[in-house]
Parts: sequence; C-alpha cells; structure tokens
Amino acid sequence: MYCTQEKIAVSPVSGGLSGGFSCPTIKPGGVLLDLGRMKRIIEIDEENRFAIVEPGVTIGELWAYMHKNTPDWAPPIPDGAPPASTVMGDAIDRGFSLYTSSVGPQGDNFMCAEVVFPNGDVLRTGSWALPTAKPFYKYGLGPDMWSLLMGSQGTMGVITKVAVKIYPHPEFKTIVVWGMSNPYDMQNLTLEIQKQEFGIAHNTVMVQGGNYPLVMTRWPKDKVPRDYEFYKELGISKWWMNFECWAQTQEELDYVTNRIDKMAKDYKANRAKDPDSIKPQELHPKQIASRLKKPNKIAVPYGLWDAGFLFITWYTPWPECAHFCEVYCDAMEKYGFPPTMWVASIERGRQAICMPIICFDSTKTKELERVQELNRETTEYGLKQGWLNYRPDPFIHIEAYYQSGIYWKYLRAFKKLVDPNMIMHPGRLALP
Amino acid sequence: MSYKLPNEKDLEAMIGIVGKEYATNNKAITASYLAKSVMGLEICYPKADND
Repeated sequence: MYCTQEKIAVSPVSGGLSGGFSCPTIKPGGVLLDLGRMKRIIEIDEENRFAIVEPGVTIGELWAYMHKNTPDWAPPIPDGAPPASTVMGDAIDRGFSLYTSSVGPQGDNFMCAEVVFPNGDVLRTGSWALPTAKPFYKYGLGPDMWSLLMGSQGTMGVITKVAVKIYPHPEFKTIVVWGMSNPYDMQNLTLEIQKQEFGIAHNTVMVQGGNYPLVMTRWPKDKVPRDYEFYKELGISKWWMNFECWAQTQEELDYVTNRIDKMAKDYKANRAKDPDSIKPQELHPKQIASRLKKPNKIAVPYGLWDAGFLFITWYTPWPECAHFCEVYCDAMEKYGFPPTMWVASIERGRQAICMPIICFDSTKTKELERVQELNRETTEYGLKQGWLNYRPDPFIHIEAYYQSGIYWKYLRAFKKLVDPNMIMHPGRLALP
Repeated sequence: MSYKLPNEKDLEAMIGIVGKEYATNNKAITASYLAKSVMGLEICYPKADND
C-alpha cells in the first residue's frame, strides 16, 4: 500500500528462476519483493488431495517433505525446472509438470489462492472465498477469479498461499520410448495413443520428446560431434517420444507398455510417413532410473553448450506441433543456433507445449540481438498460425495483443481495478 | 507511465514496516538477484576485505 501511494514499482519474486522472460526487473529501479522466506508447508490433506503452501516453498522441499511424510502421494512438480524453483511460481507460470500429459495444464492443478492486491485487499479465490470452506473446489463462488492471476507474472498482486492438487505416487513406473525420423510421425503416433483418453492415456503421466540436438546441446559445443551420424551410431533416432508410465500394479504397468508398443507397431505398419525409421529405443536401466528421478535438473546442462540458453515456449494444438517443429528448427538453423526442440503433450494430446531451446553465448550482445531477431520472425509466423506464446516477451509478443485488442482492454481494466497505480511488475505483459 | 525511484526516505519507511533485516538498498544484493535468476546463486551480504 505504501508503494501504491508513492507510485513505486514492485516486482515480486519467489524462486527467481524462470527460465524465460519473467525474471525480475532490476533497472531502472523499484522494490524487488522477495517472497523466498515464506516457506511454510501449511497442510497436506490426503483425503481431499491437496497441499497448501506459501510462495517460497520450492519444488524440491515439497517433494522431499511428501516423500518422507506422505509417500503414497506426490505434488505435480515441474520436470526439468531446478529443485530450487517454487511451487507457486510454476503455478502462475502455468508450467509443465510430471502429471500434465495425463491430467491437464499445470494451471489446472491449482485449486485456490490467497492474493494481496496493491490496494491492500486480501482475496481468497475459489471455494476458499468462503471463510469456512476448504480449498477443495477451484470455481467456488460465481465467476472464477483465480484464472485472472494465472499467467499474470506478478502483474496483478502478490500471491501468499496456494492450494495445489496432489496425486498418487505409485511404485510401478517405467519409460517407453519410440524413435522416428521426422516430427510428423512423432506427432501422429503420439496423438493416436493420447486420443484413447481413458486408460493408457491417463497412465502416461508425462509424454515428451524431441530431436537429437536435445542430446547434443547438453554438452559444450567444442566437445561433441555435431554430425547426426555420430548419434545414429549410438542408436538415437532423429526424433523420439518418451512415454513415462505410472501404474498401481505391475500387471497394469505391463498392460500399458504392451498396449503402447502394439499401437506403435500398428502405426508403423499402416499409417507412418517413414515406416522404416519407427523403432523402439532400448534404454539402459540407469537411463530409465535417471528419467524417473524427481525432481531432476534436466534443463540445466543446456547452458554448457555456449554459456547461455533460453526457452521460447509456445502452445499449439497437438496436430500442429510437427509443423511448429519444422518451421522453428529451420529458423534456428537460419540464425545459427542448433535446432534443439522439446515437445510435450498436455491433457492427453489436446495441446502441445513446444519449447525451442536456444543455446547461445549470453556474454555477446550480437548473439542476444540474433535471438531477438529469431524470436521476432517466428512470433510473426506463429501468431498467423494461431499459436500462443506461453511466457510473453513484452517487447516482441506485444504483437499478440495487437490482434486481441478487446481481450487486452478487459485485462487492463481488471489490473486497474486491483492495481490502480499500475505498480505491479511494470513492463510485463504490456500492462501497462 | 512514470514511477518514483525509491529513495532513502522510502527505505526508512519500508524498514519501519518490515524491520531492518528485511529491507535493503544494497546494490550488491540487488544485483545478485539477477545472478540467482540466471545461475541459481544464493544471495548474501558481501564481506569487506578486512572482515
């Protein structure tokens, strides 16, 4: 309220580890509000299946706490984000989590929140709006206000508590991988499996894949071969899809893996674009164990390639993700970056989260300019296709608002309502 | 949209609200948030050479 009165900009930060564009503003200056000390895990309710945490609780802390105290249950922590990133940060960033392919976008895993607005009001959303209610129902009293905070990147208010769904953490887990030569076979085979909706589509908690530069760019660029032939010798397909399967019994797990294999063989025999390239990828038990380990640091090594990396993430309808991969990989090569592409299914193949990983030398201004040029060119193309950027760069993705003027008008009106002097995280989301 | 840059008076006001342990305008700490966001480094007060 003091900052509102004095019109001082405030940038809230919980973990401060967003790998994209939502990091705190340092210049020209204001208040950086560090929520990292708000670290209480307030409640784990196994019957109603939610956990209530403060914004400074990291995914590593919540995972470890539940592993020790409620081992049959686990939180939907992101895959690839560092253990020091926060549960709340992942919620409002609407990230990808270890259950997302099965149960839906990460934003949907959050039930209710407590938020402090710059005008001094403390609001509880969903069923929590009723003082006597548990955070058991997201949509609570009338229209839902929590969704106005999702994706807000700290521009609306300061979230001080969230209730997140928790899920069973069964003993029986494995990874099934199918390889192929092109993104279209990756897309279409995965869609056939995900479109089952029930059964195996729910057992495949994480469905994510990509191309061979995902392997290459995890090492310094002068230390590894860049020719695909080297990776082919290692048995790595040009493209592949991982199906991380969770089940309550070994019998159920066997059914799921056999069914995926059967569907893949049927796809290969009857509908594949390049049938000869479609094959299962055998994983060493250590590779399986490494992929199943949570939380992991899978994203971190991309910084080794050339000193810096950036995720530029988009949402597309699943049946368009191969087109996205093709276009974006070409653009990355045109601008001199390795065409590193990661793709994951959201909500059983209803959406794709497509994440080009731009590996570049962050110490060189020219390289940053090339990243911006690549981003600008691909944004123009992506918006024409109707694809959505997930974590907008305010300088480039403002173009999306140009095409959605009425939406921006009402978003801005809501912000004015809760933040009349527009002090919260200025510059983000073009608000203001 | 223009904003006021916080000054010493604002810092004192914030210390009055949250206590001196929880508000600072130390430039090194401010800059280190950037290091944390990029490299995951933790924040601490810098030590002087003669400490």
